[in-house]
Amino acid sequence: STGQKPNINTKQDAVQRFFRIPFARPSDDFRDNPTGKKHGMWWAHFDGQWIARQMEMYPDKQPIILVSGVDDMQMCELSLEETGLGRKKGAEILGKDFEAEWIKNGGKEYLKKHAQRVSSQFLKKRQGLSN
Amino acid sequence: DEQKKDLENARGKPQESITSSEFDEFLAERAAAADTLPSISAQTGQQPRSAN
Repeated sequence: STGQKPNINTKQDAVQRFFRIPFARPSDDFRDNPTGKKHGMWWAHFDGQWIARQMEMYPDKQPIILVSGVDDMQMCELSLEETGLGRKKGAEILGKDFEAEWIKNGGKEYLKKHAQRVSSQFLKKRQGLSN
Repeated sequence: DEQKKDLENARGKPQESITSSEFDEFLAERAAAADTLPSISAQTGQQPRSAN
């Protein structure tokens, strides 16, 4: 058994998982660009089955940071299971690596600014906002 | 699953790419949205630095 259950992120003890994968604009071609200099990186923090934080980075573009409850329209609405990310080799990263990048891009201040709207129970708890 | 792998190979995707097609679509949309972002050099007026 993989131990994966169709949880939702209302559980305060949901498993936290972090991912980073390269992504490219349709005009970019991965295969002709093995150095990977042109493509961007998509970062995600899943609180249980649902996305809590998302980061998007492109070379020469301002990084984008997104939080569930605030930026839902631009965020992944699929469950972790539905994305297939958990089965993708090399996609999962350590939480500390995600956090380092999140902080570097002003995530701490962004979370503070929108603290009342954040929907992830994990983030609420960490911000000291859980009931 | 085998069928899905065959389909992905036929599309020319790397074999390790086993994320769902819905997710791949989402990523492509987000990547396309990046085109509308101003570049850092446009915002700061600086030339992009070369890594070399």
